[in-house]
Amino acid sequence: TRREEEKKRKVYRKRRTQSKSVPSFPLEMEEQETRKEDLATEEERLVYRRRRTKPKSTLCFLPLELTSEILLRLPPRSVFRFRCVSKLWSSITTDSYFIKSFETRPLLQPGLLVCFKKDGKLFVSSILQLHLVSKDSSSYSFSQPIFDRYQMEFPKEYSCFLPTESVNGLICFQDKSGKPIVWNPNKRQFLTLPRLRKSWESIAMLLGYDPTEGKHKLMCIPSRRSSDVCQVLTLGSTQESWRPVKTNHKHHVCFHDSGRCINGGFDVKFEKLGMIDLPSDIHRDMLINYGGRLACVDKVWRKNRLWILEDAGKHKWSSQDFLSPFVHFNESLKTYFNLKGYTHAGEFVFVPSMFSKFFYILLYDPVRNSFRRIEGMVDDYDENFFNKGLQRQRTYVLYTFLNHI
Amino acid sequence: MSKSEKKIVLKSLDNEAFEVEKAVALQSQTIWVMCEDKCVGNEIPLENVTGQILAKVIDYCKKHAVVDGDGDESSEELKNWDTEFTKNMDQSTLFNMILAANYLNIKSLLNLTCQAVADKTKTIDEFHTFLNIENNFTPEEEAQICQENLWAFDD
Repeated sequence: TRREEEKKRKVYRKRRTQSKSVPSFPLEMEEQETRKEDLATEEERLVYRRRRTKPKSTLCFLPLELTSEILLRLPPRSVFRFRCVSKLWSSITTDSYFIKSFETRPLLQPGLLVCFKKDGKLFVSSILQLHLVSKDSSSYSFSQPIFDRYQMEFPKEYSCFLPTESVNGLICFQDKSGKPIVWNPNKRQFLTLPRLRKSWESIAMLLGYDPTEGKHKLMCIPSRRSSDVCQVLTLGSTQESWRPVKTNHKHHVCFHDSGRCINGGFDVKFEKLGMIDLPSDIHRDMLINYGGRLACVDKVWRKNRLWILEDAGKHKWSSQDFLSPFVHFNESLKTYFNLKGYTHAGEFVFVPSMFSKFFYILLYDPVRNSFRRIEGMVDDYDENFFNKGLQRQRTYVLYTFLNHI
Repeated sequence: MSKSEKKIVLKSLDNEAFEVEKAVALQSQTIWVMCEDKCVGNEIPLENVTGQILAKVIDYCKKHAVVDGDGDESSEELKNWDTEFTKNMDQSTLFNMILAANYLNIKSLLNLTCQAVADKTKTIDEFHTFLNIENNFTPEEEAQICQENLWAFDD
């Protein structure tokens, strides 16, 4: 039965390796060993079994803590995949200490999270933001080291998806009924938060992170009306509940909106809402996070001026002009691009709001004055294959989250 | 400090001697402690590292050392250099580099080499061969655990 077991396992492994179409090297090695085993007497088999447990090559074993160092550096998907490697690895990666350090590991690289909804599912890919520029890069380069891609169920009641930015790994949005939902893309989880006690008709949500306490805070303010109160909830606190916080200013939010907290605007630690005067000669504005500072974009067609907040207390702004306009139509890609934000790697990200089959994201390096582009597509080749010609082309909303960790 | 005091000799497992600047060698916490304790002379025996590996470690330390008037390398350049450094290493070298970085206690090198393995090793079988791990699951267990983590397999 031992031999049968071995055989069964081999068939299983074989099937698995074939389906993954990995190089056949390990497989061959095993097959050779099998043949030897077939000839073996009881004694030889014993030797063989002993050999199996011994290292196959001259390398020695890696100490446990180093193995775990390597595992900590793998993309999440691989960690789950490598649970099948051995009992040891399975036990390392399911250990709570490991999980804790994995979740809080120093960011390998902040990434660009790109997703879209399709047939009740959310398709997510994370792309490395960091771009190792080669010396001879042309004005357009094509690189997209996707290091993780997955899909997850997207509940119907979440359909109104207006997410905040990714703030220290978390993203927030409201469901249809206005209930706040926290999305942890790394853990692939949605978490429903308690409903606001106050019955505001509609709310704007802002997500912030307090690094001194290591806690996320969600702030809600009523929209389409004036108020001097907001509601704050600290995530992961013992009793997650909303606390009213008085603000010094009356505020009025026009749209159903979501955003993030940035120092100078809302002080996440002390829960104070500040007010900053905008530069006087600005036209249409959009706020972005410019390397940790608040910046305001003059979002007028073909205009490329960025206002950067120097001192929130003194309402001091500096301005900088860039060569690339923040809203533009790209002739060759036939797409309108809107500025989405600025990555930690120092590039402006331009995204289309909708796409039908392929999508393009442009990254603009202001120092080199060059663009590179990332492209993706809806992976729906075989689905509804025959109806394709008859179907109207579907369009999808493209969601992008910068500096996701 | 005289010129000779600024230099230090590192001796590998196979008795290969390398004379390096102190600033270069002191990136290793292990060597730093040895020098602090004055428990060794100017020659430090490193019993866990072969000459072939030690040479590479020294290359890395030289690149990363902030020696007088030599610290003007941009971080991007360093990053590129690091990538090139590990790019062509075979698995056995990488493996030994990890052990050496751990023994010598050079955090950044350990980080770099572990990351390189994590980046290079894509399939389960590669891990089996690289890390000499025996698959000690019974077929049933393996099938089950793979089933549980099945989502991680579809591309």
